[in-house]
Amino acid sequence: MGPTAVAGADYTTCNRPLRQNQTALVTLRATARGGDEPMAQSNDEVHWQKTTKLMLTHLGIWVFFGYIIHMFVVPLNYITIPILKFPLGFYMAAQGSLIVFVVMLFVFARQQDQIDREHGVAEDD
Amino acid sequence: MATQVSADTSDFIKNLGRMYGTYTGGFIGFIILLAIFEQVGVPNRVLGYLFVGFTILVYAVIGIMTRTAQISEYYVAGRRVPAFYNGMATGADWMSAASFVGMAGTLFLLGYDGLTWVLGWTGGYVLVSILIGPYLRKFGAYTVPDFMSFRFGGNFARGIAVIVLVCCSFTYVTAQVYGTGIIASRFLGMKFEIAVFAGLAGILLCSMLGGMRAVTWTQIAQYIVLIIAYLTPIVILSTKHYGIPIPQLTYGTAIADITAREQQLLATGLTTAAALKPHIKPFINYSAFNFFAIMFCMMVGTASLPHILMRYFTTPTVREARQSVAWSLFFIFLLYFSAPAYAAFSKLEVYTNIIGRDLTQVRPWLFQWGELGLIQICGKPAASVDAIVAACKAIAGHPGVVRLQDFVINTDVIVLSTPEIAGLPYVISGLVAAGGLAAALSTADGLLLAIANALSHDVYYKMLDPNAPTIRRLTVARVLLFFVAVAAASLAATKPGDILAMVGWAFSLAMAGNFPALVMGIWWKRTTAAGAVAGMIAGFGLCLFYLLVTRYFPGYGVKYFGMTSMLSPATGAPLVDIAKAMAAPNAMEIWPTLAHPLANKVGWFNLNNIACGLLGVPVGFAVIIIVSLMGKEPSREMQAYVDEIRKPRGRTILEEKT
Repeated sequence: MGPTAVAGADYTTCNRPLRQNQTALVTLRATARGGDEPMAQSNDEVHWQKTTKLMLTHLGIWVFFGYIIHMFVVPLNYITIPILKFPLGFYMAAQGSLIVFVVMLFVFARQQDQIDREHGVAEDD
Repeated sequence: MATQVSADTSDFIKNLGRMYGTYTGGFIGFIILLAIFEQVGVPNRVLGYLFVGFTILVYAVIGIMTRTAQISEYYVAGRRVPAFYNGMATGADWMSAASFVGMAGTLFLLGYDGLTWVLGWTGGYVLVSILIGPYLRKFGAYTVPDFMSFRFGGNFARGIAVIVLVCCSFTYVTAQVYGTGIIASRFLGMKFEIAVFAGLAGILLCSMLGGMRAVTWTQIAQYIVLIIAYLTPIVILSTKHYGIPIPQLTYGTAIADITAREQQLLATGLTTAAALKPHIKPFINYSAFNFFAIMFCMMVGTASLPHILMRYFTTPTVREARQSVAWSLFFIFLLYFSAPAYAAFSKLEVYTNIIGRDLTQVRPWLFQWGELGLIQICGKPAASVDAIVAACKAIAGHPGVVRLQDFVINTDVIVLSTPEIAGLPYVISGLVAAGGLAAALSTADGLLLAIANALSHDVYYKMLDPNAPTIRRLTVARVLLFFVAVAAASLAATKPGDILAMVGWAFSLAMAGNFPALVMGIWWKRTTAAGAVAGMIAGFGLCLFYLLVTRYFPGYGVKYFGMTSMLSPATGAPLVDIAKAMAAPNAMEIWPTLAHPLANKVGWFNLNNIACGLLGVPVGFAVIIIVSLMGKEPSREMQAYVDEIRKPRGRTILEEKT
């Protein structure tokens, strides 16, 4: 590892000041060093399970709006959006899916942060 | 001292809004000033120089003011770029000359099929955010190879990651320098070869002095210029034609008009069913398979490109890294959802005011581009009315009106000519040139920085001389930056070819080499060093092999590797008669030009070589899984580190000495 100082031993020196309501976290963070206490492990595990589930949900939306919907472009093009006059299949590839991706990323950032906070692994504000 | 520095910085961050607000106001004022100059009769050439000269000067001043000699500032901008501004910088980093100038033209030519690039270059950010970016931020790397080396057992993995990085970034940067040369030569009247090196000087000024920090603050300034420049002409055009200043909504009407006009052209014999490619009809330029293959490769490539991933190393927290990906895509989206509007307005103009008109009645805006050979009518540059009349007379039985098949336009013209189509003053054309230049410069900055960092940090410092003092590391970085840039400019000056294809190759190479190892390294603790290294070599190797054989050794591909002709997307028939081409004397020629009958036209499974990553990624994943399961599970310590990467709280795994 050369000159790279890797966590491990200096890990204890990096505690940031904790607020009153974060006492529960102290245990969690202490076990992050040792990693053997069963209760803390399950908390980490639940956190990772939820994170994985969220990841798969968004991956599913991504597959749907990135690929599946565009496979139906020919039938969708028979539908015209009123007033704007876009054929729907064209519109989804030119704008619709893009809007979904942008919104999805803001929602994801919030949801993941909520999961992190619930399990006490979010960063201090 | 330390408190002094942090107080300065927090002031700096707090004032960002006011600084860039003033800057934007100043830029708009500058446009108005030049518009007044134009009215009082200052010649166009002078306006062009003022626009380009002034903007490059501003970038250089920002670069010099924010220069740094501190290691963490140089590599990751001190990790304190707020999510919103990092999003803007990423937007500029991302959108290159190919996006700014080429995208709308591609959509003009390919219609619906061109949207594979629009989708591919936006959807990938979803993968960056949910799979990779925030975890690398928590890890605390300076470069992507840093992560590979730590997770996968040292310098061998680092070396391979550096090779992948250099291959894809260098391919990409060459395309950017080429774009800079095209814009500078067109608007400043320089010779292309000189313009390439002049553009290079601008690039180096920004990135050489201050590393990531200078590049970040410059890229934000460049984003503001490029987005104003991109949106202004079509907003005015949309207001003029439809009374609503939102072109993204009004171009639906233009598309309906185009579709109606296409039928009309067919009915009046101005085109044939074979020559007409209806704008909204899918899968006539790319087969459906290649449409989705290219899109998939661009998306996954986005999440593997080192110069993009390293932008998320600069945010203060993991949380902000995630928000920053969302802001990045928002700022990119602003340009990409406008590009189809450019294409539609231009196409409607061409279909109504050029096609079907008497040769002497075509709109005069096209002659300026005809002189440069970028618009051809009847096979000759459309430089003047006399020129096109003469050219069409030479065609037997020509009816004297412009038919669709008589008209050929270079894709770069679409964005650049829109101000003239809309009848706007020259100052808007100058603005568009400044925007295109900003797009090319900002992307080139980011790419050169990624390459120089990999060479100085990963190769020199980590692999060759771990005791090198800070000053020497930064000096090495700057010297390398200079040589890499000159090499890229020299290659670009030879005009190696199609920008879009070169950029596509960069994405495929990055995805085949990096994506499986990055994802598995974070999401599967069981991934071993041997598995990852083998997976990277196998995936990257296969992609590179396919690319090189189909482009440069096509005869060998057919003879020894069972490749067959690509199929025409419209008819499904083979593009080349393999038996005949293989019998020709030049069949086994190596390193042929694009004119070679087999180059880029053979392959496996009818897969376009732009999407060669589609072969590399599954192989990469499979090899990683198989080899990992054959070996011993990674150490408990390593698995604990992976657990740490997955939690935002706590200190980064890798801490660099400064």
